[in-house]
Amino acid sequence: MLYLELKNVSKNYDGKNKIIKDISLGIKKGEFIVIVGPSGCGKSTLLRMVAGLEDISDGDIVIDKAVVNNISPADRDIAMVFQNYALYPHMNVLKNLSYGLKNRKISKDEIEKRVVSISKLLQIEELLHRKPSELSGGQKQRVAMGRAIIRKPKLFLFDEPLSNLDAKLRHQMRIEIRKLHDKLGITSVYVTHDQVEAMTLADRIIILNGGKIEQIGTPKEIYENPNSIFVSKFMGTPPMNIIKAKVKNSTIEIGDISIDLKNSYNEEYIHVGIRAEDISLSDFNNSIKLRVDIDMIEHLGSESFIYSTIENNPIIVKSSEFIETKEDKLDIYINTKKLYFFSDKEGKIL
Amino acid sequence: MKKVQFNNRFIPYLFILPQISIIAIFFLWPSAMAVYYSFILEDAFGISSEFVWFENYKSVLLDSDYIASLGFTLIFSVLVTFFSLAIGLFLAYKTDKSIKQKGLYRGLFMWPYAIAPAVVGLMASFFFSQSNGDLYNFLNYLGWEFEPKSDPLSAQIMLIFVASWKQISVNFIFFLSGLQAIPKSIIEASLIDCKSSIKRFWTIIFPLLSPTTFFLLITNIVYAFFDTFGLIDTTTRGAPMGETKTLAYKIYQDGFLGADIGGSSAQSVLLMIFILVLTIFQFKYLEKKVHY
Ligand SMILES: Nc1ncnc2c1ncn2[C@@H]1O[C@H](COP(=O)(O)OP(=O)(O)OP(=O)(O)O)[C@@H](O)[C@H]1O
Ligand SMILES: [Mg+2]
Repeated sequence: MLYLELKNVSKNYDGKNKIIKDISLGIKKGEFIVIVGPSGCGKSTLLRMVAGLEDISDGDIVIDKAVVNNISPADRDIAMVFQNYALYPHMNVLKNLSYGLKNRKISKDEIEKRVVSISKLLQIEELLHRKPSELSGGQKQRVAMGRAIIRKPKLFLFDEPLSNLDAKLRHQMRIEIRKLHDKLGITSVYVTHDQVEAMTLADRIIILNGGKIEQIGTPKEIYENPNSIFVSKFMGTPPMNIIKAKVKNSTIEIGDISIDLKNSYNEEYIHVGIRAEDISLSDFNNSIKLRVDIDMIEHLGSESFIYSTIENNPIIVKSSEFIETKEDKLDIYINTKKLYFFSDKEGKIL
Repeated sequence: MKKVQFNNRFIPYLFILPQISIIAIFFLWPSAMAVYYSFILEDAFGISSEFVWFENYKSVLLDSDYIASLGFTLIFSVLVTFFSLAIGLFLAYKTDKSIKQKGLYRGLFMWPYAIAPAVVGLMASFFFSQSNGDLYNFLNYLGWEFEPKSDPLSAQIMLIFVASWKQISVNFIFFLSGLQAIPKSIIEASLIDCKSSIKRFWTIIFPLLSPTTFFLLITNIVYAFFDTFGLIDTTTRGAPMGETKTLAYKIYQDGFLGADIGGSSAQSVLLMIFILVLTIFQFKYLEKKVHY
């Protein structure tokens, strides 16, 4: 059963350009949905429309069977965590946590009970009497989470909640957010432009591009079956290698090798995708050899990235060995079973 | 910050000299003169003068005129400060919330700021003139016997009205920029947390504006005490019977028109002390409630 539903939702700010273009989707109760996409693609706009902070130009938003288009943010029973935390600077942590509850006429005893349990859960018990200005970034983040959780809302909305934290803390909070979700089971919509967050947090990922849904699916589906070049390049570090190749009589030519296409295809060019981990430096079954020009090698300790090109197409190769070579050419072996083919004009999977 | 070392240790003093001399010439010197004259009694022709210690203060404080003026000044200042702050804040809040025509409202509400107090007074005397003043006619038409020339209450209300009106635009500008400085996400967080916009205003917006409000409170009180001088001088001149005389205006009347230099000097010293105490009090007690 769907808990949050968007039906043909559109948004334009100026009456001309549609920022959100006719989006429909359904989210089940308890799901953790992550919306990813490049900057300016409309992620925040979409989330804010669900929250009620932004008008809906067209379509319907349904939360728990009720159309909420004209319902105020306070009455939608949602909670939102903002990128810059948006804690009330003049209230201490305790008041920040209880403000939303007080306004909903929840009894003092109940508020106190929830404050105690939430502050324990988030380990902010010692901070209750501090002002937000006296907290570190990570602590503010916890309080902001607490302010959302304590309400026990129908829906959690997160707008890039971790992007103001340093890498280490971000990693730690990411794990905590997922743990909290598993514990509380509240339906969540989480906006980020960090694909690692998307892969690790989501039950399902929505990839947004230019105000349209590019693909919806579990992290595994998105990673293994990207349905466009855009998605394939967006998910995964390093991004999928894309080689633009000429098509001749249903065979493709890359360098001095040629690959047969299974299906017929009648554009002049085709884009061949291959992930870095499906390329090896030694021969194996179902592999074909490509000779590439080495640009640079990056050593990360546990692995090395080899940045190379073939016919002006950049190719990144991942190796678990420490690669050292004086040569400027290299033989790589790509797994023909793991090739993706995308159309030239639309960039869609074939 | 970079620390600059001067070869000659007097050079820094040279740099602050202009500022110091302005303070000295326009504040310290007159204040000292006021204190000096407040201890002096001159005869009516200004020929002989006598050092009388606190005689001038005594007669000022025992003067029922002075007490009446003090009473009026307090009520006047409180009401002018209250109305100009409240209305300025209200208009700023509404302007900030309006999406369309924001610039238009902002421009219109800011205009009165550019008008000098004396001109405001002049305009007021036209509007409230017995001979065909529009507001005069309107108020009388409503059935209120509004006679600022003869009825003290009418005159006082008129002054409070005009003095507040003049100050609203300044307050409006400060409040508007104060409102715009509140992060949007905090307003949005409160939209989710609290349904009632009135409650939101008092629990979130008003506290976050408190530095602005505190600053304006002090400047508005000072305005009501001192800067309304030109306004009074161009409208009532203390009329009908001295009921619209603020302390500052009374000092001017007694000193320049009444030639009671000693008495008016004593009054200015008292006024100075009063404002000083008031401001210290505000900083000491009210500032604790301000969230910076
Ligand atoms: N209030 C507004 N008025 C007009 N245009 C707006 C407004 N808010 C956002 N936009 C436009 O809508 C588009 C989408 O903005 P949005 O904030 O949703 O992007 P985003 O996906 O959240 O990007 P980011 O990752 O940078 O946060 C942008 O082109 C932006 O310029
Ligand atoms: Mg955004």
